[in-house]
Amino acid sequence: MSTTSKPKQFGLPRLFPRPMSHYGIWSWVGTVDHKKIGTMYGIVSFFWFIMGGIEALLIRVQLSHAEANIIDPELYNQLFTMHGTTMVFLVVMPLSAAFFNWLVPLQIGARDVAFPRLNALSLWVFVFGSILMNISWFTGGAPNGGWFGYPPNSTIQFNPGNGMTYWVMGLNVLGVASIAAGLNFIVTIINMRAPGMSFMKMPVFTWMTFITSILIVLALPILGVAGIQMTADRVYGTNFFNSEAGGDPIFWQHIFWLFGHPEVYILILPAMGIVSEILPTFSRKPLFGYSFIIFSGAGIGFMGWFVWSHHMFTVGLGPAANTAFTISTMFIAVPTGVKIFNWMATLWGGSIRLTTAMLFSIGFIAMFTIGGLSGVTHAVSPSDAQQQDTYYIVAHFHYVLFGGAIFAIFAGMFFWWPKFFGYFLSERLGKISFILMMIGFNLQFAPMHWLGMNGMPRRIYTYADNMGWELSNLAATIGGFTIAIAVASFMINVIYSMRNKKLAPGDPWDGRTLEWSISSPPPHYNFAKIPEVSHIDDWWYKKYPSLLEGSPKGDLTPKAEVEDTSKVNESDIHLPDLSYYPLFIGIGLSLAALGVMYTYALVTIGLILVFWGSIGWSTEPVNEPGQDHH
Amino acid sequence: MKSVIRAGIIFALLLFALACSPESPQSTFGTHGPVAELQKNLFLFTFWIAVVVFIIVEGGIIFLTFKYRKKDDKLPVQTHGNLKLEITWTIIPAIIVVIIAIPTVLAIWETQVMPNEEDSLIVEATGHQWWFEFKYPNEEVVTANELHLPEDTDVIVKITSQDVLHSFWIPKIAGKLDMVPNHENQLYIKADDPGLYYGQCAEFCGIVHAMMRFRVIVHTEENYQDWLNDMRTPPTKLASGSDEDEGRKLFVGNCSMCHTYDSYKKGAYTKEIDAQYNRWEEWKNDKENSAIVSAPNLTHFGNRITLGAGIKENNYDNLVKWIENPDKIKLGTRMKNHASIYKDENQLSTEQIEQIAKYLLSLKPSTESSATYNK
Repeated sequence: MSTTSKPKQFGLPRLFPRPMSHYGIWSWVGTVDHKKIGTMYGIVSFFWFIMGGIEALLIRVQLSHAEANIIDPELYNQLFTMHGTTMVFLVVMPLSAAFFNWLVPLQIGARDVAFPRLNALSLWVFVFGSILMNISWFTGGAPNGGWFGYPPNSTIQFNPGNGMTYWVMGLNVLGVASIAAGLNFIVTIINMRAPGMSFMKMPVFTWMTFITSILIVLALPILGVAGIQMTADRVYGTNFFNSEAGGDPIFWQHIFWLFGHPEVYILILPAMGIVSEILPTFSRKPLFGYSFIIFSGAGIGFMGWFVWSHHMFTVGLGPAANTAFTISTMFIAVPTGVKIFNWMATLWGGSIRLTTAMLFSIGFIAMFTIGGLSGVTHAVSPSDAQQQDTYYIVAHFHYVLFGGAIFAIFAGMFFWWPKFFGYFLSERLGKISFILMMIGFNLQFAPMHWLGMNGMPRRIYTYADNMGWELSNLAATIGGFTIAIAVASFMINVIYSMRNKKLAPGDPWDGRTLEWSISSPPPHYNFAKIPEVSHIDDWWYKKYPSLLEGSPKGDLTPKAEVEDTSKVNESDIHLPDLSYYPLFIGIGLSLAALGVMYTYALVTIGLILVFWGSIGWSTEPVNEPGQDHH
Repeated sequence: MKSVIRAGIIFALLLFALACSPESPQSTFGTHGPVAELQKNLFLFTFWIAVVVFIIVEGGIIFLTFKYRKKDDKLPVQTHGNLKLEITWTIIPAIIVVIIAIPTVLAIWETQVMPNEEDSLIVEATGHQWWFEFKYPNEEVVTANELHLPEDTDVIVKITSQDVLHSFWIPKIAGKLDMVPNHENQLYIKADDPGLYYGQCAEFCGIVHAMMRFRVIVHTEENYQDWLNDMRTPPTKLASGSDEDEGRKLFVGNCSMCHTYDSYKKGAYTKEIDAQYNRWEEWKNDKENSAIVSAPNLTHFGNRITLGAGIKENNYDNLVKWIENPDKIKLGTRMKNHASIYKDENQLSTEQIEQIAKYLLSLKPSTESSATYNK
């Protein structure tokens, strides 16, 4: 074949040289490596976690006592709108995406995701979409219509100014990132599993990623449709939701929650996946009822489509609709309960090591259970008429999303940090973070249950002093600051551990799944040799094959060792080269979205970037010819 | 470890010390109506089931965590699952859910099917940014921010909104129902005991959502009839030249385009409906500059308990402050943003404002009545 001439490449003239180095800033900007992308997802969304947290603290300061005048009502409305939007779309979703990125290829024995450049596109669209939404703080006011954006209050008729337009354009852009990521992980999980890894041998986290990705791909387009309608209403004068012209504001609620309820499971299923990996590892026994955990997860994901109107029990849909959605909602408690009992049974009879990751995971079960139980009281729609839109619901979903999702994400960070970065986080500081967070969290959100039952509506910027709400609010504010200290202690932990590196071996926790079979941090190609899988928790049984013969007192000297990278011939391994086109498309989309509010010139520039990026992307060779690539 | 547990218990007790007090004005536990009562009992029924599950699960987690702490390097028994257990803990929650679902569904139909309109009092409640309008179509009475009801009477509240979404909620009497523009919702309520109750908007409705509140005054049947009569009785004639009379002139000149003050007259009811509609149209068509907005009806304002939609006690000092600058009490009102008296060239003097306040407080029915206002 030595005589073949090089095929002529069609391509755009390059404005910038293609980044090729695996080191330095450009290796990050142009990266298509799932691990670097995962890290950047983590850093950016942790930044927004701090911002959303500051918004929450300002809210808590204003509510710390009756008739406080620290924050004016307009700013208060912006704060709670952006707190909710940030925490859902810029924190929990992308933090989960950070774990998807890092873990899915490692857990299924792949060298990357199916579409590495699409993965980079998801990241950059998310990054610039999140910035777009927050530019609004500096251009005359952030969104102020609530994270649910209910019209008519969010329509241009009642909410002039650009705040809510930023909100809806931001969601439009972020939706692109999520849908692309969802598709990517579905394709990755279906196609790129190591030989022998059938679906029922997949790690639970990968399973939950799979279910979550399906939900994302089905749910986010619904938000997209709603978003486009709202954009058209606000920018081009249509009347989908404009009640003054006969538009129907309740229509928005239906489509928003048709997206919004599956969204709740998009936020919590990855967390369930994380704890389902940690509990068996630190109990030193398999996950109890693997298939039941999987199917209940799928069941939750499926049933999540039939419950959206429980967000609308007081809208006046009538007794028939309320009955139907009451019953469907209640039955979601069943698969959720199954999961909780299986996790408990995993602990049962185990040999439990209370590492920080394990503490956060156990904390997750404990707190999530409370959120689940208050969820059942919400499903009882007649009594929910008293709790809807009060602090009781605020307590409920924080128990699910903070006590649930955020606790699990912290668990995941402590668990996989040594794998991702090659060194441990301090366990001592980690336990301090856990205790502070547990106390702060309960001090902040438990009193909100009785605030709600005592009739305090949510989203009010102040309250009178004779309502009997002061003590609970003060407790909640103190709790909020305790959480802030807990988060600060985590950040100190990261800096401290980075400076005093306690290096981690490839398999520091006696792990069970494939990511622990390679060195820490993983080499950029992940697996030198793609593993062959024959069991659930395959790595565990490679280490302890005698367990397969059913002997619990089997030979506990590991029979398998972490892959040794020093003997790997890297030139045998082919990975795609870097690309800056995803970055340009990400910037272009956000510029175009920004331009919708200001000038078509900006839209044009943005769309040119998107178009140029797409053409460049599709004509760019996977590997630059003539380069020494691996 | 013991000290940790002890600290935990003290912490939990402290939290519960903050818990629900039925006395607080919007407590959903201190009920005074059958609907709220039913909702409370249904909640407590679910709650106690949840408490049992809570104790089993949380107790179980703590027990398992301590009991199975790592003691040695021995590998524990490697159980993968147990079908019987799985079936058990699928079926038991399902049974619990059914047990909760049955009274729930019954309660839905019990509370959401309206009684016969002919035997019930009909009240129309309309949400406005940021106040409540209450109309009694059969009695032809209209008022704002204070809902008067007779005790032990079936009431159908017909609920709608003029502008954005609001929610009508009297925690001690019944759970909430949303106020939706272009749409009428119906809420069945009944109040057991005469007294003063608090209501509040429970759906986010814009800048001063927090200050959209109202009061409910539940009367004995006799007092309720007196109140209706009061609402049809003109106020006392004002002596010409008095502060009140000067205030009246100022009010008529500056305020009466938006605030109706004489709905005690015959035929005033339909007139007020038209007027409110026209004010709304006026504002809708020019939201920037309209000098006219929908505003609370002030008939017999002197008998009102509160001002600013349930925000401040209705007395002379508060009223003067309110008229001087509503923003200081309630930031963002339509009155401040649209009324011409807040434009520089038309500003009222302090004396004029005081005269208006005196006039408004003089707006009371001329005849004595037994209707109590729970001041």
